[in-house]
Amino acid sequence: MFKDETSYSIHPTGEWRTGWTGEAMVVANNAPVLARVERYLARLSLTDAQRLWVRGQIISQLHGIGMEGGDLYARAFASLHMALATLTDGDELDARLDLSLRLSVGESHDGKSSRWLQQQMAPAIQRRSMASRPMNRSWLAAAGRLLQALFSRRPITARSRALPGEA
Amino acid sequence: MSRSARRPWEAIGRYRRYWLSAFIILPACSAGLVLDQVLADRLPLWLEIATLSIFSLLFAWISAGFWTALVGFVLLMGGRTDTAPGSPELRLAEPRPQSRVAILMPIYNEEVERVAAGLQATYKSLQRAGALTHFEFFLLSDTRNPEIWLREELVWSALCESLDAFGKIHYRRRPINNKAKSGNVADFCRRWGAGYEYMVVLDADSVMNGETLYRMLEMMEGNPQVGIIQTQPVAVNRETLYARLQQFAQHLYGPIFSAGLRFWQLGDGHYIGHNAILRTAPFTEFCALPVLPGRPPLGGPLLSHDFVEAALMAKSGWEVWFVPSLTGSYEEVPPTLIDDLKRDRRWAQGNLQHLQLLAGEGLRSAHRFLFINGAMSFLAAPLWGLFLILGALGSLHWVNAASDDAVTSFHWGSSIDPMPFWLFGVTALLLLSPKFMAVIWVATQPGRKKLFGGIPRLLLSMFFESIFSVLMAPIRMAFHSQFVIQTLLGRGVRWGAQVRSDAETAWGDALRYFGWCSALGLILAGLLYPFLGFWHFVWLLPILGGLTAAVPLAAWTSRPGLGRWARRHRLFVIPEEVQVPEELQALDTDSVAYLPHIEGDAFVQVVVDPRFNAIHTALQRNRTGLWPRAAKLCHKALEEGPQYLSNRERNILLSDRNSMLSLHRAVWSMDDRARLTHWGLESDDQALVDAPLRTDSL
Repeated sequence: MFKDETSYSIHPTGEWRTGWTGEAMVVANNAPVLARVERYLARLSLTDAQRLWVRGQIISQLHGIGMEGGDLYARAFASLHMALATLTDGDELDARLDLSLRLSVGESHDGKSSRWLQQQMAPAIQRRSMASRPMNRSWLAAAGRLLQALFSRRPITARSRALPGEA
Repeated sequence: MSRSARRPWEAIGRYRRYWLSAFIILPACSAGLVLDQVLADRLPLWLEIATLSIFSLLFAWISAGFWTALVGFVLLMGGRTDTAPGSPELRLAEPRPQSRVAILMPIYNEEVERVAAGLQATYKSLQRAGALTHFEFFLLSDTRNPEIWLREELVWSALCESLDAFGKIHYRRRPINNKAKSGNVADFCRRWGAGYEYMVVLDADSVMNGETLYRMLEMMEGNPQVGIIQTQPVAVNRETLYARLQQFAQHLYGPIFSAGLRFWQLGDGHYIGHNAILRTAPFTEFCALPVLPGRPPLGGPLLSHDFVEAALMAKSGWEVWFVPSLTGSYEEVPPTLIDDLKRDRRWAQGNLQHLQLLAGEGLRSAHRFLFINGAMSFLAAPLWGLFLILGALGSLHWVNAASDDAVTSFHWGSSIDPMPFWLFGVTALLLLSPKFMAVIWVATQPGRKKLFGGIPRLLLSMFFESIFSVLMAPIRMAFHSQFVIQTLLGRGVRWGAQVRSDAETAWGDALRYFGWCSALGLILAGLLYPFLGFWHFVWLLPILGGLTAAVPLAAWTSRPGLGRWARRHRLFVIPEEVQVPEELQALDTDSVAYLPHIEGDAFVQVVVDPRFNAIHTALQRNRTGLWPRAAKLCHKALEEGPQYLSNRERNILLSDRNSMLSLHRAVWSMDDRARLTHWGLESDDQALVDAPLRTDSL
């Protein structure tokens, strides 16, 4: 949902549910949730230790939570991302980026891998203007210049560039 | 210090161009006068004047090519390249440690793997040359298709990772791509130009040798008065018969024309928009393109930027040198006649626009001539067509005026052709002699003839290439005439991506594009034969034959199989096929096989895949102004599925960091199986439900 100019968030079920407050609900079976988490983790190049630790974090977060459906999935993935963020001591995006680029998770670029990647993509901007210069394209003026050159016996020359060191 | 002392080549160049002008104008006038003696009193005055005017203009046009080739031939036979005083080749300087060169590769909806292969080949070649410290690469994307954009990003990160080139290879995608390629380069100049003294502009299919790049840098360092150094890129790598014919012709005839062109131009050279090094500061200061008054196609933004940029650079006192002796510069040609003509359509409009700059104040005469020359490349076609029509009218008038009954009967000796044989011979000489000059030059170079498959195969290839050229000429003439007329009638052309793979033309497409040419050829043949008679008709046979054969020619020459057959029989062989340079070997598709491939919908993958999502999202910034709209689009994507988002809507979401993060989290948190299928997660989930895990098992 768009809330204000500083942020917006969306709910996976599409519509914002009135009264959705995360109240306790009965979880009949959360195995599919954990299985999906497992599939998500499989897409990341985590070490066994990291994987185990992240799993543990998610399970402990889900323990005793009475949710089901999309809310349960949302909670599980929020926990997962929180755990990933903890890995880098910062942002889960940086953690995923480190894993994608095969960097040491949380140890590269002061844990700010996404900022680092942006800097690699485009160096610092040093703005300079580039605007076209006026050019007289009139045929009449061109004919005048030609006549002037013919009668004054002065050749038409381009403006010569001053080389470095010249006045 | 006087100007001539600073630019010693100027006086030499002026002297040479006076001679060239004399060589062009005097024979054209003489030929016109001689033809006038034949036509006088035999044709009505209006027909005579029109025929003579067009003939003289076209004679001058083809003789300019002949003299250029002849001078190039003499220079090359003498075993030397033209190094007039002031030539950049004469003064090389070791680059200063702080000299930085940006290698720009503007791309627009290109085949990403091919771009990556070319960039990688150039990068590795620079690495081998030990010159990498001075160079950085910029992939400047104008891509609008989100699928290709995502591939570009993924390939960029993978390239950087594999070459350990983070910080050496940069990527920028313009959100708004105004002024096409020239606008893309200008955007670089405005943002980063101050940090790079030089820039090398490449095409998406360009490859350059590292040592050549370093030599260009040395030339720029040693010649602070030079603004642009242009190499002669050679065409390589194509397999269709059409492209192989073009490659062969360019390799065989190109060197003598290039040497001749350099002889006339000296420091007033041309720039073709790629495979050249430019001094960034003056380019930024002086070479911003003017917008022409009036509406497109003849007014508005310039479609063909390179010639104008060279002219503006020279106008500002900087030298522009064409250095054909720089080898190791490669490009690819359009694979089929259709693709070639599509490119010509853009060039035709761009070159005709240049005529509006002819009277521009301060432009150097050599560049005004280049503008005329460029426009004549396309105006020549309708002029040839007009000349043929006038010729046919003249013949008709002549035979009708004759008292005997020789209209349809053909008798050797008794039916005299109205066109003097010697004039035909001179014209043929002007057109064909450069081909023989090129063969003679190749034959006299030790080791070079082997690179063309040996002398017998070289002659055979030249013979077939000439046949194809003759047959293709009327097709080009018809299309170029159409392009000129369309442009003059105000029908513009849109910027489209170029075809850079060997895709053959289907018969249906050939019929759709060239059916009218074949029909025109047949109709003209049927109409003219009874009026002209056999002997006069024979003169038109190459033209009518080429037109009639347009459909099969377009279809057959687009076949890669025929191209490969020709190569197996050592026909149309080029040196790069006999001795494959290292950087071209590196273009092999296996060289980029390691790059990640996106299966299926790239938008879905970038939302779902945590790694791909991380790379893409990290490269975006929060576009808070878009958030109200982006939030609605996110909900639309989740509720209806990503397939209901248009490319424009996808681009909005893709360009906002928060949207990509939110979508990624939301999709993985969905439990609605029907919606999950839209994101390709259903199968995963189903598999997991079939074999449920228990929390206590973790």
